[in-house]
Amino acid sequence: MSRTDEELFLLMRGGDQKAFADLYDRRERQLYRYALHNLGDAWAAEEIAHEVFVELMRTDSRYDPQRGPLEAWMYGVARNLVRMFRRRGPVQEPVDRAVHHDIVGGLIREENLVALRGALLELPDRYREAVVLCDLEERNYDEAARIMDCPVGTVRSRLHRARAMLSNRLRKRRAMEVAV
Amino acid sequence: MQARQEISQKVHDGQEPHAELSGHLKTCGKCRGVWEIRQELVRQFDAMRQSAATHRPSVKRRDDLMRNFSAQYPLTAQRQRRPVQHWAWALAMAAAVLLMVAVGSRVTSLWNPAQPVTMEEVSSLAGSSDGQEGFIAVPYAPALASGELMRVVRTELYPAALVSLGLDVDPAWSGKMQAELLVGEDGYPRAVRVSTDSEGVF
Repeated sequence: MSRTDEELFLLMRGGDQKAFADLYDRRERQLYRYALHNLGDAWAAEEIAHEVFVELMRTDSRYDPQRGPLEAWMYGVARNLVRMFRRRGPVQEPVDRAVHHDIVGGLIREENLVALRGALLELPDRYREAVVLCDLEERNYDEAARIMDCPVGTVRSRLHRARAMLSNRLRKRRAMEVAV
Repeated sequence: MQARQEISQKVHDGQEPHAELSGHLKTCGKCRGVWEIRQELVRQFDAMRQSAATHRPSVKRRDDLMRNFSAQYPLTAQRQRRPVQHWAWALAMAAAVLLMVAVGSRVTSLWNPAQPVTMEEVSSLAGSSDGQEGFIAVPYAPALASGELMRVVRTELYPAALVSLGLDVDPAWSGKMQAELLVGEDGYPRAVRVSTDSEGVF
C-alpha cells in the first residue's frame, strides 16, 4: 500500500531521500500542469513545480501536517508563485529553451484552442483555478475545494461562472468568424 | 434558464441529453447554441489536457533536487547508503585478502600475534647497530607510544629502500636481500634486520 503524502513528508523530514523522490514523482507533473494552465508558459511552469519542492525541502518549511493536507499546501505555494509570475508580466525565457518554450501553443496549433487558452488566462484567478482543477485536471469538487481551501459550493459556483464566461468568449468568436 | 443549466451540467458531465431535452434542443435555437458551444468547450478542454499530459519532468532538475536534498540531510543520506557501504567494505576486504595471498610469495610473514613486540623490546633489540638480534634502529623514526605493539614484516628489499630509511648501505651491493622490518601501529618501520645470508650490507 502506498504511503500518503503526509507520511512521505515525515519520512522526508527524517532525511529519507526515497520518500522525497516518491513525493516528487507523484506530484511534480500535477503541479507543472497546474502552473502551465494558469500561466500558459511551459518554462515558468517547470520553474514553479521545481520551486515547490525546493520550498518543501527547506528545513524551515512552513508546512505543518496538523494543519492540513500536504497537497493543498503544495498547490498553495504553486498558486502564490503563479501570481508572482503573472504580476511580473510576460516571462523572459532563457534563449536555449526557445524550441520547447510553449508546449500548449506548439503542439496543439489549433486556432480555437489558442483562443481558449487566451480566454482562460484572462479569467480572474479564482475562476480560472476552478476550471484548471475541475475541467483540466479532472479533480472532483471535494478535491478542488480542499486544494482551493474553500467550500464545495463555492467551487461549483465559480466553475459554473467560469464556464459561462468561456462559453461567451467562444460564442463571440464564432459570431465574428461568421460575420467575416 | 433551467434548461440551460441542465445543458451545461450534462455536457460537462459527458452525458447525452434525455428525450425531453433533446426535443427542446430541436425547437429552441438559443438552447441549441448553448449546447453546441458547451460541447465545443469540452472538446477543447480535452485537447488542452492531452497536450499538457505530454510533459515529462526534467531528469536534470530532478537530479539537482536530489543532490540538494543529500547536501541538506547529509547524515541521514549516509545512513541510507550504509548497506551499500557494507557491501563495498566486504568486497574491499576480499580484494585485500586476495592481494595478500598473491603477494605472499614475497612477504612470508606479515603478522605474528603470538609474539607481539613492545617498544621496550624494540629498544633492546635495536639498542646498538650490531645488536645481538641484528636489528638496526631506523634513524629519526617517530617515537612509539608506551605499550604500542609492533609487527614483524619479512620481505625483500633493494638497497635503495634501506637508503630511503636513512641507513648506510655498501654501494657495491646491488641485489635484493631478505629483511625483517619492525613496523609500528602507524605502519612506519622502526628497525630493520637483514637476513644473515644477505651479504654486502653494513
